[in-house]
Amino acid sequence: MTALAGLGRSGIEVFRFVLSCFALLYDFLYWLAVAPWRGFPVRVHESARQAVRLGVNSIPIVFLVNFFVGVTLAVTVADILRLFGPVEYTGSVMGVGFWRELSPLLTAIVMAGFAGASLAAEIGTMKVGEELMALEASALNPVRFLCVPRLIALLLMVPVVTLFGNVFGIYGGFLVCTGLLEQSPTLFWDKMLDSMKMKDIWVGGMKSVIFGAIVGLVGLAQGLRVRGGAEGVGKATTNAVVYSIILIIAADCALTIALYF
Amino acid sequence: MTDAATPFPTQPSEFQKGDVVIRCRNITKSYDGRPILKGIDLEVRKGETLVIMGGSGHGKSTMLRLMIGAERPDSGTIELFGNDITALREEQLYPIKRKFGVLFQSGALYNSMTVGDNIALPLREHTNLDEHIISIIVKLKLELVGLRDFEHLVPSQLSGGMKKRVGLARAIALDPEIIFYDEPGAGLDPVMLAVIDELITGLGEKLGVASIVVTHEMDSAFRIADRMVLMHGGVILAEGTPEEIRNSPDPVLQQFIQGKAEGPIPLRLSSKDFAEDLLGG
Repeated sequence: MTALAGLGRSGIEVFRFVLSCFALLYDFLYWLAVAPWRGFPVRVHESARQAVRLGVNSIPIVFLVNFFVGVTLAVTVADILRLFGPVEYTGSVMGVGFWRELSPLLTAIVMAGFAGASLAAEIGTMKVGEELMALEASALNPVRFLCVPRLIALLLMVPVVTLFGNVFGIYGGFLVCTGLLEQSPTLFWDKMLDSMKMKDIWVGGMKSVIFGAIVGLVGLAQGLRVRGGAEGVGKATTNAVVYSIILIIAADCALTIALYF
Repeated sequence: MTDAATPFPTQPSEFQKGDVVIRCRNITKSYDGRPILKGIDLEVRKGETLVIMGGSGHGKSTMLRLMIGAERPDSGTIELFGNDITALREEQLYPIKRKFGVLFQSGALYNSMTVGDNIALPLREHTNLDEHIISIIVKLKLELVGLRDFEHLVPSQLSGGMKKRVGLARAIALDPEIIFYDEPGAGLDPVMLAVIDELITGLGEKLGVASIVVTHEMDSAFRIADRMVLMHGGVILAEGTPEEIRNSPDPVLQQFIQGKAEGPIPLRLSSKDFAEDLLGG
């Protein structure tokens, strides 16, 4: 019974947290779209700085993860296709698989660890150090001042980095097909392009924007609600990664099913 | 010393020396059902230094957070410059917030910025001054706290006391009419403490700044205060000039200002009897 009660409590906790993420999204949209007309401009320069910090700097990790998964997927798929014969369709699987599913998902998970954790720790430390209160006391809204530039950066950069992820992952598959399976490069590209539709591209793009929003909102909301010193910051950082990954995979599942038809 | 604060083009204040700039009426606040403030009335006049004393956990910091608009009271009104801030929306508070400065306990510097940028931030965000003027003001404010050479360092390279001094320089960047100090003495050496004390009284006498100082340092409190209040158990136990406070017969007050371990202020905050608790009763 206590275990059940515990489960219920953490369920309520997660639900409350998701609500606070939506509240933050509402604030974000206000400071992005309404407040600039009332004399509170968006900090464009800071957004660009954050885009470099959170987006550009993550490209090496995104490269490694997508590349290795690309290689692994190509070998696995080729092994299965070999049973029936059409090994050249490996290229098709790589194209659709990465554009539509794998690169958005893998990149978002990398970003949850790379950017989400960093946001939670940064904002949490600022909260503990009274910096957020100092901002408020000098008439600077922390959401406008800190959260909006970081969220803009993620909404722009996660799709861009996902695009890089596509290239890296498919390149991994390409190396397997041309090197290990001795296919001609043109065959690989032809098969890949034949099977791809416009829908694969926009579905992938849409997912990456939504995942970027999840990484940013969860990381920032965790940072904002830090309480009680270093331990609180550590907990928020862990929670940011765990909650982001769960929410990303859940959203991916829902979107994939919804967009299947 | 305070000449440095004049080049900033502030509008002449509509408040004269002696006018009430902060008026708190019947403030109550509780956290998780535990009452911290039980009806506080407080007034601060322009040009005056009010020292708020009290043991830890008796509501001093809460009172400060309410007065700077970081939190809202459960009931009661807080008027800053005649505007009830408890009734205002966040954006309506901004013009009022620009007229006061806060020195936080730890200094609360923005760790990602240099010392100079910390002080320049309010100027960049709230004025149309160009960078050249801003850099002059930053130097003036840093000179005031004796740290002009440290402009290009980041907060992690400073000692605790230095951070506090930079925090003060930032608090006065916009030449505020009210300055709140949260334990300005904690972590400072005696010499620096005297310098800060002098700065606080100087700002009050020459520029008519109202200062609200939350502190435990009794020597410093008696040096700077025009008026003192002692908060105890969520109410204001005593209020008066330093002279009145020193001569008050109130045993709680005397225990506090003399810093004695024995007296009417309970050391232990437990509700149960000690023996009863040990024996599992």
